[in-house]
Parts: sequence; C-alpha cells; structure tokens
Amino acid sequence: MDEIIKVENVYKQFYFYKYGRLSLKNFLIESFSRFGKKPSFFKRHYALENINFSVRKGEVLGIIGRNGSGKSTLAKLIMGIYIPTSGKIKVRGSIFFLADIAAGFQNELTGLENIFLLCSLYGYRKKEIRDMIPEILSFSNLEEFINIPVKYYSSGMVARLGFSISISVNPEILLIDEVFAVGDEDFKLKCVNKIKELKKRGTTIIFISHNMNFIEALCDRVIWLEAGKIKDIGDTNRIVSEYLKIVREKRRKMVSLLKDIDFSEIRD
Amino acid sequence: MFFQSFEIIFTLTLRNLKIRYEKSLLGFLWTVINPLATFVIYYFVFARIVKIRMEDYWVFLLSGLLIWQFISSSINSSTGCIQSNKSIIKKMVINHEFFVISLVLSRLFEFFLESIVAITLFSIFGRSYSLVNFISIVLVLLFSFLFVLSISLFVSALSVYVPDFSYGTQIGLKLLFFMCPIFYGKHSVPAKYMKVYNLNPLNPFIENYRDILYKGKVISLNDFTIMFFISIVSLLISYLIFKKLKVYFAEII
Repeated sequence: MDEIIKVENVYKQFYFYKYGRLSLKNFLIESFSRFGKKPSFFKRHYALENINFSVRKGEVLGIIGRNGSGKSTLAKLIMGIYIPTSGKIKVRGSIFFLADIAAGFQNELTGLENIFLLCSLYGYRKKEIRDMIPEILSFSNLEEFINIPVKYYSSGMVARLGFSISISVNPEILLIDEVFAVGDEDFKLKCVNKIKELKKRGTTIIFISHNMNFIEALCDRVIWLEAGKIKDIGDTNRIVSEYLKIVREKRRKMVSLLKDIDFSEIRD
Repeated sequence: MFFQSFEIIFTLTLRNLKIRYEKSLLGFLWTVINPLATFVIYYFVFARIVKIRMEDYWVFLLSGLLIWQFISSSINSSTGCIQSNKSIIKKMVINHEFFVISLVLSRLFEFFLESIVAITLFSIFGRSYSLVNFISIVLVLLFSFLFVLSISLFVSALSVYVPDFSYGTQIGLKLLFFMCPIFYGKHSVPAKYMKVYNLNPLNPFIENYRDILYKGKVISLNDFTIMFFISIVSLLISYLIFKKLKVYFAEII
C-alpha cells in the first residue's frame, strides 16, 4: 500500500461564542439570564464529521462541494494547520498549500523577497532558491514586476506568483484550494498543463475547486462534501455529473427568479 | 533540523527589519534617530525641569533609555505578533515561536546597533571601555534578550486569545517605565519602597547594562547568576505556556 495520506474518522468541531463575541456585556447577560443554571457561552459546530479516505501516491484527488461544506477546513487539517477534534490524519511527505491565491505573501515585500521568504520557510537554502528563480519568473511572466512590492500586484499577478512558487518548491503533495478563480484563460491553461505534468512526475495532488471542467480534466477521483460529511466518493465523471445536475437545477431557479424581477422599476 | 530552524528565524528577522525600515525615507537611520529623539525629550524634562543632579546625567539617562526601548518595543509589538503573521500561519506549518523569536531578535539587533553608537558617543566624551566591559555588555544583551523573549512569548500568545490583553500591556508598560530604574538610580529609591523595587525582575538587566556604560562596571559572577536564573526560568515557563496555547492560533486569528 502506498497511501501517502490517510484520513481516519476525522471530526472537526469549532467553537463559537454564542453572542458573536465574548465581551463583558455578553458575559453578564448570560450569567444573569440563566441564573442558577450553568451558563454556556459556546456554540458548537461540526465543520467535518466522520471523514474517512485515503490518497494514493501520485493520485489527483478532487474535492468539491458548496460553500461552507468543509473543503477548506479539510485542506487545513491535512496540512496540519488545524488539529482534528478526534480521529487521525497521517501524511507522509512534504506538502505545499496553495490557498486563496496568496500563498502567505507579505504585502510590503517585493515579489523577489517574497520568493526568498516563502521558499526558505519551506526549508530551502539561499543557493537553492537562487537556482529556482528563473523557473518561477518564466512561468509567472513577472520579470518586469518582480522588484515591486506585492501590494501593488493585481490579484491575477499574485495568483501567478503563488502558483509558480508552489510548483517550483516541488513538494510531494500539492494542495490547491480554489486558485483558478482569478487569472486569465492563458494562465489557467498553463496551470492545467503544469498540473498534468506534475501528475506524470508522480506528485500527489489534492485539488479543491468549483470549476467542474478542471475537476473533470484533472482528477482521478473526487470527494463530494456536503455539510461537513462525505456525500460521495469515487469516480470523477459519475460524481461530477451528479453534482452538476444539482447545480444546473439551482441555476435554472436563479434564472427564472431573475426573469421575474422588473428591472425598470429598480432603476427608478 | 536545528540549522534549518536557525535559517528560518534568520530570514524572518531580516524580513522584520526590511518591512520596518524600507518604506521610510530615512530607512535604517531611524534606529538611531528614534532613541536619540526620545532621549532629548526626556533629558530636557528630567535634567532641566525636574533638575536631577547627577554627574554626567545624560550618559546615565541615555543608557537606561536604550535598554528600556528594547524591552518596551519588543513587548509592545509582540501583542500583535501572531496576528500580523496571519497570512503565513494560516497556510503553512511553521513553529509559531519563530515569529516571536525573530521579532525580539530584530529589536535586539537595533538595540545592539544603538549600543555601539552610544559607546562611541560616550568614548568621544571621555569615557573609556576595556575588553571586559564589552564582554559584559554582550552577556547582558544575551540575557536580556532571553528574558524579554520570555515575556514576549507569553504576551503574544495570550493576546491572541484575549485581545484586551494588548491594551493591558500598554498600560503595564507605562507603569513599568516608572518602576524601572531608568531616569533614577537605585540609590534614590526611598527605603520604604525598596521591597517593591526589588520585586521587579527587569532591574538587574537595566542596572547592569547602565552601570557598564556609566561606571565601567564589569559583570560579577553574582550578577551573572542572577540574570541567568531569571531569564532561563522565565523562558522555560513561558515557552511551556506558549506551546499549550499555540495549538489553536490558526483557528482563532
């Protein structure tokens, strides 16, 4: 068995303050309004329940689901950024997490400085990073802007830089969380090709996206999350078509809703 | 592994210094301007208005202020330390204490530069220092780094959970400024307050640092033991607390 990631009976519970946030005011309200009873300040919420799956080495696994279904939480658990409330997650190998486009960039630093910072946080030596830079620059097409602070970058540029770094650090596992929402078609195409190339090289990839075209093109298997639980896991085509059925149904409803609105009234 | 951690801390420290100075016009000069300006203000108040009589009071005051600035600015910025590294913490698995260590290290670096400037200045005005003095300075710098680091670890971890803690810290630092022997010396503390004065664990560091620059003192074995004991014990305690608290940093910030 060459399972590179194994997730067993994982639950993740988040605590929320009942009143949005804890303050002296809310503390007093809760303490007095439930006089005599034990006050409770927390609401519990299971973001993930009973998650079981494993990923083989070299596999591309897609994770799909609606907003708030627990996709990103699952990604963070696999990364080790969050700790599971119960259950076990075993990961063998180095991971790179590419999430919400900016992979931990520092706005004040230039693109080049960010490359050095991120790569050295991933354990690369200065010399090695210097060797990686040409590849990063050519893939991201950012030679011109590399000495400008990242805060002046457009979101597409940030995404390009983030993706270029993530493939250059050459991790054993690459976790991609909804990165292709920005970036133009050319770059998306380049990324898809690159991911395919990485797959051939044997990189294990976990790919979180709302874009079913990418999921279908790239993934060997798909996990469908619904309200924190695995609704379905298995063959890409089957799950994507089922998922799309629901999405299309919703879209139709939305379109018919939009038709009912009389826009001329709103304008006035 | 150890070497890698060292390199990460070094990179982060460099980043801190870069971010702090690169966007300003005067850049690194601020390391010197900032303490000097503060010094001029305090000197005017304490020497000309309060009229503290002491031989070479400016040397006395400047050396006290330099170490105080190191202490207070480290602790003050550690309240937001974890929060300001959010973008990395939420995406990477990295020892969170590295952020605090690098923060205090970058302040130590500034403190070190300031000390060199101060020593040069004092030498120009007739003081002379021997090699033993320099070794003493380095020792004091090392131990005060460890002690300030322990406070910063504690403060940074707690202010993630209780944001009010950072406001409290600011008030605490204001109080601490007057409790520490910065513009006054130990000799001017009234006997009835001596007990309170002796409770302040920062005093040995401040007194030693200043006495080296002001009186040309050399650190004795006794001083060494006291500083060693305070810094190591507090570092151990606060590291354990930090380790307990850091588990949920990524979820809270």
